[in-house]
Amino acid sequence: MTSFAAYSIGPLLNLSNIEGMVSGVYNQTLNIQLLDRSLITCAMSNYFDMPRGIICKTPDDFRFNKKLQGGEKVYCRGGIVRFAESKLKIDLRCASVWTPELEPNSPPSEILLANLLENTNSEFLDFDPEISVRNFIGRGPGLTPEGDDFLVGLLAAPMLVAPSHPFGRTMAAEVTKYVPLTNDISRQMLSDATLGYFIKPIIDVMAALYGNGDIESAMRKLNSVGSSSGAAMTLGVVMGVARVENHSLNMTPNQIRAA
Amino acid sequence: MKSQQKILPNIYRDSVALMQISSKLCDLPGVIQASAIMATAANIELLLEAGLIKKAIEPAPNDLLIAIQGDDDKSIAVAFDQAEEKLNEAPSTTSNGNAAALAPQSIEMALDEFPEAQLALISCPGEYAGAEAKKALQLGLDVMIFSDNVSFEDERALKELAIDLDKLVMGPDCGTAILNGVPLGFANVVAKGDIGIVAASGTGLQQVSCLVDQLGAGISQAIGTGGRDLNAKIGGLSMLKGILTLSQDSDTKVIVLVSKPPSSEIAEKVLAEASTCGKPVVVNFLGADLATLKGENIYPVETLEEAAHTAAQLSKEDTPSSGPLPRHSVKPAEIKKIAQTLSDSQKYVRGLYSGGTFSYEAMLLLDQEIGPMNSSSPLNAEHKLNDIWSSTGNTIIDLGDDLFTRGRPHPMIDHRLRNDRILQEAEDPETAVILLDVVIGHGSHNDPAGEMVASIKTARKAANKIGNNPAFVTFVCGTHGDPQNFAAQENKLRDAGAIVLESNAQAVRLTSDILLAVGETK
Repeated sequence: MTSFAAYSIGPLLNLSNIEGMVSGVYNQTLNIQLLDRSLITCAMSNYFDMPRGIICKTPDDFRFNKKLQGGEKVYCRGGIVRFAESKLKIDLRCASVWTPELEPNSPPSEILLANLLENTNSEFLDFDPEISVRNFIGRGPGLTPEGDDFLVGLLAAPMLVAPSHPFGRTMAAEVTKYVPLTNDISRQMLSDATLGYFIKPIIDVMAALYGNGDIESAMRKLNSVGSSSGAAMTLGVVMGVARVENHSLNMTPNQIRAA
Repeated sequence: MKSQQKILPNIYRDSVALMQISSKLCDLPGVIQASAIMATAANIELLLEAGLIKKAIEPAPNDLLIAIQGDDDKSIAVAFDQAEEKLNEAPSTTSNGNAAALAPQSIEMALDEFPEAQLALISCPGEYAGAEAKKALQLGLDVMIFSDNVSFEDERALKELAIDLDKLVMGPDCGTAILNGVPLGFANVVAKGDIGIVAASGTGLQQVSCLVDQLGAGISQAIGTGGRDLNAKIGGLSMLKGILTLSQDSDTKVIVLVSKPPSSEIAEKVLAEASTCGKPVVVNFLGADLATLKGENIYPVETLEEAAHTAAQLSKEDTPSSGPLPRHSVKPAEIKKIAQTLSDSQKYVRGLYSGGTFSYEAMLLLDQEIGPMNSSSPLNAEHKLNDIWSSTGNTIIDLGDDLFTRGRPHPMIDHRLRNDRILQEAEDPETAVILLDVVIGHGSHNDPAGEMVASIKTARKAANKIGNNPAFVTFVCGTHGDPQNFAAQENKLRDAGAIVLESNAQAVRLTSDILLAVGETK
C-alpha cells in the first residue's frame, strides 16, 4: 500500500463527495471524475494549487502514470482517498484548504496593458463575448483547447475584481451556455471560472497586475502552465483586465502616450 | 454423565460463529450439552449456572473455552475433536483458485482491501466493541454493533461522535437491518420500495418489513437502533438520526418507527423530529397510549401488523383506513370446534417465542382481551413466574432472553430448548393453546418449521395420551424471497396440524378467541 499525505486541497473540494473513477493519468497529475461528473485533480508536491486540487507530498521520483491507470475506482472514507486497484492512499485529514486571496491595490496602467498586448492577434483584440465565446470554446490545440484557456483567463478580471461589470456578466452567461461543447477538463475549469475560481498562477498574475507582486515572475509562471495553455491564459487575463478597466485594446503604447 | 472443558488460548470467534459451533456439537451422539464461548468472567458465570462447568475458572477473555457434557469420555473426546476442526478450518480459496490472502487484522486494513465499504459490522466482546466502533466511525464508516455488553456511557459517546461525523450507529445489540437492499444480521429478503423503517427492535423490524413485502410494497432502508436507544441515558440519538436520514433519502416516501414506548421526554423529541421531517410517519410504540402520539403527519398504530398495513397504504398515497384490520382468517365455527375438542382442564395459553418483541406484543394484546400474562419478563412485576422453567396459568415467554440462553445458542438458531418446552407444555393438562413464532430469513435456522414439526407431532401424541388436544397456533415471519422457502415452512406447519396465521397479531387474536370460546363452552 502506497500512502501520501496531502499538503493542501482546493476550496471547491467536498470530502463527503469524493467517489468516482480515474479519468486521466499523467506524469504529475491525475484526474478523477466524481459521481456527479465534476473533476478533481491530484497533483505532485511541486504543482500549483487548484480550486478542485489535491496537492500530495510525493517523492520527487514519483509519477502518477507509473502507478495508476484510467478507469480505476476511487473512494474517500474518513478523509482518506483510496484507489481500489493500485492500492494507493491519499490522506487529506491534515491538509490545509487553499484560500485564494486577492486584495487589489491599484489597477494596472493603460500603458502597461498596451505593452503586454502589443503584437496580439486582432482576432483576440476584437473579442466580443456575445459573438466570440461560441467560436472560441473547444477550439485550438492542447489537452485543454487553447480557446478554452483564453476564455478562462478572460474571466479572471471580471470575476475577481469587477463582478458587476457588464462584460463579466455577459461572458459568464455565454460561457455557461456553450461549455457543454468542450471536453470534461476544460468544462470544469470554465465552469469554476464563471464562479470566480481559478488556478493559483492566474490569481498570482492578477495580484501582481493589481499592485501585489512581481508581474514578470508571475506571468512567467503562468506562461509555463501546460504546453500552450499558460500562454493562452496569460493573454486572456491581460485582455480581461483591459476590458474591465475600460482601456482601449486597439491603441499601441506610443499612441496612448501621444494621446 | 461426564463433563469436561478445554481452553484454547488466543483464539477469538464472534458470538454467532460460537453459537453455530455449539449447536453442531449438541447434535453429536452422546453429547447432552455443549458450549463454545470466549472465557470472559460473565461467560464463565453462565456456564456455572447452566451446570456445564462445576468450578469457577480464571477468566481469560482472549481465550476460547469449550465445555461439554456427555454420556461418556469417548463422546466428549469426539466432540472436542469436531470443535477444534471447525475452529481450524482452512480459509476458503478465492474464485480463481488461489489460497485466500491473509485476512485483514483491523478495520483500517479491511478498508484498504475493500475501499468501497460504507459500513462496519462490529461483533466482538462488548468491552472492545465501543473502541472498534469508534475507529470505524473515524475511518468514515457507518457502524452496526451486533455486540452487547457495551456500557451506556460508551453507547452515548459513540452516538454523539457519529452525529459530529454525520454517520449512523446502529446498536449496540443490534441484530437486524436492511441497508441498500442488503439484509444484515438476522434479516429477510424483502422487495425494494419506498417505506423506510427505524426500529429499536429486531423482530419488530422483521415483522413490519416482511408484512410490507407481502402487501406488495417494499423497503427503502430498515435501520436498527439497538434496544437501548430510546432509554433516557441515550436520548434516542440513533432513532433521531434514522428519521433525519430517511427524511433526506429520495427513495423513502413513508417512515415507520418501531419500539417499546420511550419516556415522555424522549417520545416528545422523536415525535417532534418525525412531525417536521416532511414525510408521513407511522409510529408503533408498542403499548403506548395512542392518544399521546400526536403530531403533523404522525400515524400512531397499535400493532406491528397495523404499522405495515398503514405504511403500505400511505406508500400508495391512499388514506389509511380507520377501521380495525381483520382479526384473523379462522371462522367462528372453527374456533368453537377447537374449543370443544379441548378437555375441561385445558384453559391456558403457553406462548413460546423466539422473538422478544413478538412476546411483548402478545402480552400486550392478550392483557387487553384475556387478562395479565405470566412471564419471565412480564408487563407487571407481580406476574413474574416463580420458576421460568415452568409455566403457571397463562404464560408468555421469550426463549431468546438471556435468562434462557445462558450457555446456549439463541432459539432462532437452535430449536432444542423450545422443542423441549413444547413437549413440556403439551404434557401439562392445563395447556389449551401453544403459541409459537417461526422466524426465517438470513441468520435463522435453515429449516425452523422442519425442526418444530417433529416436536409438535411428538407433543400432540403425548398430550393425547392424557386426553388432551392442545391447539398449536403459529405464524411465519418471512417472505417468499427468504432462503428457507416461506411457503414450504407454512405447509410443513399446517401438515403437522398447526394453525398458521399471517402475523403475530393475528395469531395472538386467534389465541384470545380460542380461550374466550373455551370460557364460554366449559
